[in-house]
Amino acid sequence: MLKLLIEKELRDAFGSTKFVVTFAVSAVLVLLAFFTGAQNYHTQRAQYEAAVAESMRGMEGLTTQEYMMLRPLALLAPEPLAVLVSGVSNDIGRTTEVRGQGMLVAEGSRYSEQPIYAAFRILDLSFIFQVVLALFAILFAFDAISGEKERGTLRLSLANAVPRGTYLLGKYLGAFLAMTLALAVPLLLGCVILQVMDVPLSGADWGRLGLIVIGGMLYLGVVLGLALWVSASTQRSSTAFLVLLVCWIVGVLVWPRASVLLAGRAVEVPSRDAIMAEINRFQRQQFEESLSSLMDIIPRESGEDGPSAEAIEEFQKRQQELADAREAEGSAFRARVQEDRINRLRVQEQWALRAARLSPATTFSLASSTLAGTSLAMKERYQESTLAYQEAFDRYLREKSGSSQGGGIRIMLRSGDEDDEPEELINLQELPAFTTQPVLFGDVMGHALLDFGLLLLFNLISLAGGFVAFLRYDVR
Amino acid sequence: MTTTTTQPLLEAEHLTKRYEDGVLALDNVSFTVSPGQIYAMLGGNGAGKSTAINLFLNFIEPTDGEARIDGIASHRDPLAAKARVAYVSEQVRLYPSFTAIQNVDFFARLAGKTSYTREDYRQALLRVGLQPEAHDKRLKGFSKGMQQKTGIAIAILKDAPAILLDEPTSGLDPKAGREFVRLLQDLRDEGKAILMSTHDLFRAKEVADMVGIMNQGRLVMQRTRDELHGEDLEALYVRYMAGYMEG
Amino acid sequence: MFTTLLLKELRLLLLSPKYIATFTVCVVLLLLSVFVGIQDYQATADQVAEARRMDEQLLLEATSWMGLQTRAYREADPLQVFVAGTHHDIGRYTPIGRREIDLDQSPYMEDTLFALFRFLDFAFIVQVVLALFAILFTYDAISGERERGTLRLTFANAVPRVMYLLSKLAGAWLGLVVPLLIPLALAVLLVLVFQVPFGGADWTRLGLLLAYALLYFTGFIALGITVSALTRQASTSFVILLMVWVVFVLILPRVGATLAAQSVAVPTVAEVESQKEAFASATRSRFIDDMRTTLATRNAAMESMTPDERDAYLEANEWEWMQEQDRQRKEMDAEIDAHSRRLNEEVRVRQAVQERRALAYARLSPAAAFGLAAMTLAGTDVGQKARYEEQMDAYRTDFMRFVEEKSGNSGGGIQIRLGGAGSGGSIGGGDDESLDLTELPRFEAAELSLASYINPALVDVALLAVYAFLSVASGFVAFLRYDVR
Ligand SMILES: Nc1ncnc2c1ncn2[C@@H]1O[C@H](COP(=O)(O)OP(=O)(O)O)[C@@H](O)[C@H]1O
Ligand SMILES: [Mg+2]
Repeated sequence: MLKLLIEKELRDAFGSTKFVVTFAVSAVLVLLAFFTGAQNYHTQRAQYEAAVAESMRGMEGLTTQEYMMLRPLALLAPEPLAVLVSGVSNDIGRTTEVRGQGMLVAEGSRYSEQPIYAAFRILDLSFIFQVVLALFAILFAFDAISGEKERGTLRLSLANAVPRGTYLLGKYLGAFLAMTLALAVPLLLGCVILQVMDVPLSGADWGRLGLIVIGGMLYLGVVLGLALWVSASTQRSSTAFLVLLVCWIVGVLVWPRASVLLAGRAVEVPSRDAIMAEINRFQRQQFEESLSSLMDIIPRESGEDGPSAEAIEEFQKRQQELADAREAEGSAFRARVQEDRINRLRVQEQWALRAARLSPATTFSLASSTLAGTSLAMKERYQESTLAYQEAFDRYLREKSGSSQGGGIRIMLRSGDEDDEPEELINLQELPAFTTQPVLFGDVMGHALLDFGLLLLFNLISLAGGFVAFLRYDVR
Repeated sequence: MTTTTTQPLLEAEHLTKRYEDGVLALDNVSFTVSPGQIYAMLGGNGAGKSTAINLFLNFIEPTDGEARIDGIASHRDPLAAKARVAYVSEQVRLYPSFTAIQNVDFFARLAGKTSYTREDYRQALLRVGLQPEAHDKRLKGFSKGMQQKTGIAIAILKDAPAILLDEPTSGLDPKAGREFVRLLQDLRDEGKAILMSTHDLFRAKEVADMVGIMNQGRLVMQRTRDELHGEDLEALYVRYMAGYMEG
Repeated sequence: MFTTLLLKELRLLLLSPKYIATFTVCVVLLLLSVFVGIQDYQATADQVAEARRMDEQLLLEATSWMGLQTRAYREADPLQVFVAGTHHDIGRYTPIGRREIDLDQSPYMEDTLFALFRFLDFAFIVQVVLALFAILFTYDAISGERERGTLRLTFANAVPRVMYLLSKLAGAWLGLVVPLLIPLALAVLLVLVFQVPFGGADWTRLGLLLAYALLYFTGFIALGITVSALTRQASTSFVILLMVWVVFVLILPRVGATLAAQSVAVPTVAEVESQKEAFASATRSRFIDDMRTTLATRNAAMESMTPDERDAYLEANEWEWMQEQDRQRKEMDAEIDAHSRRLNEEVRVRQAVQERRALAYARLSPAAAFGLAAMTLAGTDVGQKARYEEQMDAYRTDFMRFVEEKSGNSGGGIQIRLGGAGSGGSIGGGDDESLDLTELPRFEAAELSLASYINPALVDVALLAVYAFLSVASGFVAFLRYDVR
């Protein structure tokens, strides 16, 4: 019986122009998203590699006397999945100038560099699912019950020994299957495009992409369930459509924005400027102190040739000790000042996202960006990577030059006789290379689990609502 | 053609329906239809005919009394009751994107009939007078009468012991109407119990074994074919309608 | 007769459930958006004021002119309450000092949470939601009446078709203007209550924004009627219109930008930055080499002199040498500056080409045209960044000149290389007194004339007008040939 109902739904779907048109459009969109995504990835990759090369070239020609002037850039590498689910990947800074010590600030988000894309944004897979396909799912299922009633076929069907639950389930599964089948082909073709265009995806990446699609289907399931529910709660399909359209506007376009804007504003977070100013002030103070303390230990010139080599070494050692002490002091101060802000940001984020998740569209969006590694965690991941790199870089510096870049002021001393020695260049090969922490499959899965659970729950709720409404439906 | 005294298949017992808005659409109506019998329910628009049929199908719950099919009260065990009855609605409209055969196939399977072949469907469609060239056409272009015929074919194919027909001849041309009457007679001869609502006095008189006249929710007159024999049904109809008005 | 028809349209519309839905949604959304917009505006304005105060404080605490640096901030435009545009995507400030201008740290980079789902503003609601409602109001204008049979009945009378269509247009238009105007009036009240500093020009701009919005949805209303006059069934026309809407509003703008990105490659800031860096260090090392050789020749010249001669020689030449060295350094700086200007210019040109292409593709959609016109009007358009950077660059020149003058006066002390985060560059030794900052130039964004908010988007407004005209005209053509049976 259920099979028969599903079969009929499928045949009904594939025979209707509405379905054919909507899915032709979505097929084109999905293919376009994959194609432009792959192209974007390559463009970004090329730009990234050029930037890395340029940054190396910028450091070429520094001599071993000039370790203090090394400023390697920690550049955020493009990730293949980020072009399919852009998340916040275009909103966060991608370039960090790394010093051995001190605060690091990422600069230059893609949108800030190219505001034209910020104005129009990007067509990616998650947008297609979240906005366009959801609308199509509504278009497809809004008259599932009320339409059959208007056509009179509902009476005819229910004049048979068909349990209503089975009937509704048949509708739901039939619609779901029809959409899955219609999307399967363009999605598979999209994967082929990724392969053909040499987008480097590892096994785990494919797994994540698969999960993103599954998440998308779950989300469409919620939309279908909701459409059935509304359809089973209204007598006329035009009313059902109106209600669903309003639901779509609110759930997809408005709620995510409004909830984050309102809930986010409800938690007050001190501005970054205030914190930066405080840190600046502290640093300036440190700087002045360090100047005077250095003046005290600076070796007096012992003759025509300047200070002796031993004196310089002694001075360097003292200087490094002072610098380390100041750096420790400085980073403790920064941590203290920033901690409160970070905690508040966390709370703000929690509230905003909790509120936002009331809409399945948001839940899906969060799940997909988590899986793609482009959620808010991306920023943290990058930050942590740069901090880790900073440590490695600092270690490298101490090893090579015996001193760090932190701790306020530095005085470079040269003894006169060194001048004649041929200058040796820094071997940049030995400079530690920056890598971003990889997105760990288990990690993101763990984070996305909540959203997947929520999507399932939304499915169940909408189906249950549909059942209750349909059991009481007036089929006359 | 005598009324049988075997166990009736369709029974209305003190059937009463008051809608949520207070309209008393059926007021304590009782009648029975036995196998091999055609019962014609006559009455003007809004008399309560469709309400009665809807009660048999459990599309609505009775306010009082019950409608039974083969002894099963519809509102107690709707699925069992509905397995024993076929139904043709007032205005059959089917899936416009399906062909006639696809429509018929779907509803036959829904009724639990899985053994039919394509040929059986063609036969049934021919039997109700749908021209062969229309069998594989989508229903989009079908006229009201053609859809009605397809609907009747669906009812035949269900092969249920009882048949409910709600103004089945609306939309049929005269020739089709005549063929329909013959079809009904065949079905009766196969032993089906048929309940038909109509306001077509002429046809009712031609085929019905029992005629009931309804007015404002009441069964105001009920005669067997034999009782009606010498009488002018039209005059009776007008009299009962008018009499009720005055009373 | 026209009034009869129009009244019938309005009555039908006002009594329909879709009208109530539309009205409620519009009122709630618009008020919400303006509320959020005002909050955001005030937060931005406060942030800028606060940051400036802190910068001022830091300047006061500074003890030396050399290496003095500050920041210049992008200011909030009151119209961003209605059109946020690229406000959240563009950097908030640039350091002003030795380093080049770089408007960085956009609000979204700092508060990435809000970047997740972006902003909700008046322009978005008009662009997306109101256009959808325009379709909802008109999709069954003709085909629906035909299905109901009322079209035949109507045209059984002596009704001119043109008049009938006009009444349809006017009815839908009036019906949609109300849910737009009422919340907008309330929004204006909100603006007044929250004391957003709206000047005369700002009100004019708001009025123009409304005019753009009306022009935009007139196009959609006429389009709805056209499609409904091209189809026999309301359900068909709805599906078609919904597809058109999806393509115009959701897809074309994005695809336009994406395709344009692929056709013109623009180097990223990182690339440009490193190129500049490479050039600068090459130039500097050349300078140092030159210095060494001159020094060597001078030393060689002095080799044979007696100490007394040497002192006299030095006495005679030292000033000149210093002058020359200074001149050379300035030359070098100028060279580096010119190079990076040239690079910037190159990037800007390429970016402009890319932008023009993206805009050309995107403008096929009236939604994009409206969005662009609205952003330009609010000053939150794509060009905002370039505009600010130009002004900030000019300011930086002033600032640097002033600082140089001052520090030149106070004379150089020891030169010490810095290793700490924060301020780079060098400091002058000496006095611990705070500086006299009264004459220090302060950054202020130039007041734009009304024309500069309008003219750049004239193309878009013209396009909107063309779209509206085309859809009205095609509506007439379609309906004049409509089979009313
Ligand atoms: N859903 C309903 N709610 C309220 N009254 C109804 C409803 N359906 C039918 N009626 C009323 O019940 C009466 C009988 O209707 P119906 O059985 O459809 O008449 P018939 O089929 O004989 O023309 C009419 O007065 C009608 O107005
Ligand atoms: Mg009836």
